[in-house]
Amino acid sequence: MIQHKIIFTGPVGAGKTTAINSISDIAPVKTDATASDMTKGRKAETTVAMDYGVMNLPDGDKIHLYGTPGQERFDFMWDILTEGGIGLILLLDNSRKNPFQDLNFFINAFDDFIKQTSVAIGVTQMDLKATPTIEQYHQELKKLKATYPVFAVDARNSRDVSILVQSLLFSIDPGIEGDN
Amino acid sequence: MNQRENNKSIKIAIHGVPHSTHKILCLFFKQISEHIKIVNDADSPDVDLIDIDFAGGDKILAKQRAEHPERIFVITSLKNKPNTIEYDYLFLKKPLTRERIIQIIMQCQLQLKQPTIQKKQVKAASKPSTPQATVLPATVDKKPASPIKPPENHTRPAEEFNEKGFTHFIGLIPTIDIKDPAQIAQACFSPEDYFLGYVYNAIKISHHKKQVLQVDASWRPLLIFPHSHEIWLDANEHQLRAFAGLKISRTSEGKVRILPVNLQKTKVNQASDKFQNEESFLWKLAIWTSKGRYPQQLDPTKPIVLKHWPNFTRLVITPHALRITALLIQQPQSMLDVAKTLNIGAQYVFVFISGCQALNLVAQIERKPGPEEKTKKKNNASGLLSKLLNKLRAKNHDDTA
Repeated sequence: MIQHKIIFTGPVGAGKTTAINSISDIAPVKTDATASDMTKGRKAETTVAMDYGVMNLPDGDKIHLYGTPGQERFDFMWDILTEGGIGLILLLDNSRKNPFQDLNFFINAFDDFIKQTSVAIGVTQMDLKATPTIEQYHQELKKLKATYPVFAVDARNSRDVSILVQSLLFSIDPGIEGDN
Repeated sequence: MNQRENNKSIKIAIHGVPHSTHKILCLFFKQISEHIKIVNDADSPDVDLIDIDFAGGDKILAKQRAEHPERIFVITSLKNKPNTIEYDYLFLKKPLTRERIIQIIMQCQLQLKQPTIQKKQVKAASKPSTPQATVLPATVDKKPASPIKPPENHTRPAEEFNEKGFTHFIGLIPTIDIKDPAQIAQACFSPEDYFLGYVYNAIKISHHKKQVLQVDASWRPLLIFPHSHEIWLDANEHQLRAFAGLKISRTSEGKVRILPVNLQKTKVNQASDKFQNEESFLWKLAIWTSKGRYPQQLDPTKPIVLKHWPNFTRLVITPHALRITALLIQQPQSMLDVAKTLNIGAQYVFVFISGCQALNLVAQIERKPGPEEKTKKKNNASGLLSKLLNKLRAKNHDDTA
């Protein structure tokens, strides 16, 4: 049976767990543990394996939502997670030291998957740090000759996360229609 | 130093001095007051003290300004106060004496105690747009003097509309038959004839001059704060929607003026809830002006290039806006072709493009894509994606209800 899934990725503390929680129909299965490495400077608990949520669709279809662990030492899991995925949601924490470095890192790391599917980028914590601006993210993406959706996102806000996922779906196929 | 008056600790980061000088300054500040703490840049200082006599000092200043617009900047130099620096800063003349330093520290503490628009004013400005040829009076209030409450964060989540809800939101949308050239030709508007055009030009000037400006259209006052990218308008949404749709007379009585602002004489302080994000405001004003028409400067039969996705989470999402964006990002198409390809009313494309044009997101090109380029990307999972789309929209609706 084919598993339909959307992958949420991004650095530690970008809001992947929260974003999945915002749109999942079930209480997300979390694998957070007390942070003991360099992560502890940013948050008390961090995801050490992956987060999991589900969106139940009509006719018994399900969309599985997987959040990758932020730490790079878990990057061996990323290929397995993305296999058969619909697309990628990349969340970036604007308050981190070098968000563009994070952007380039994750775009490169998921390059093959993005080429096969698509990506939508949500920038979190813009209320804490306003720069880089969304416009500057587009300029950075221009260097990669990419025009992916980039939105300011509050991961706690289901509407923001919903719009981000919708943009991913339309990037995959602008022709899809919903009920108006 | 008056400890009673200045009892708050102040964190200062020193830039552009050799290590030895840095050390001496640390000791010097320590002697002056225990409330002065010299910290590293990573420790969120309140003040950046920059020696611009140091090679590259001006670059350090520009970098710090861009990255930390909320901080107070103190520039120190052997020369006189430089007049080439456009933004607000405090000046500390060398040689550094105890008296001069105390004076500057007191000024910093005063600024820190005042959460003022003055502080908002020194926030980093975006690159100015090309200025318009509007003449402004020579006297300009660059630095508003009165302490004014800073506006709160006015970033609102996006509103997303379907066709039915949108008609209610925007008012009358003319139904346009895209097969009838006469109807298409008439379905345009000139932004310059409406409040939109004046606000758009005023924003450009305000950013270019890095100056708070007021648009006086013999209506409610509208203020533009270029450094924080915010608009202050003393009107509610219903009033703005109604005014947006009215043509503004070009006679001398109805002339719209763009004026510098004396913030002391405005009501900004009493109504900080009336601040709005500049981009969201301009977008909303454009779609209320458009009401389903396209901007006159654009040709609906020529391909449109969309520079990038609008920041939809902070804008009113017009019907089909995400689909239209995705299609135009894939390849430039004319407004009429977009309506045909997506099988939607042309008025929804027109209103969306009007919003994009107000945010400088569109350009028009002459080249018409060949038929082979128009082939729509087919997706095997489109049934599943449609179901997911409906689910996401229903979830949004439930959250709103």
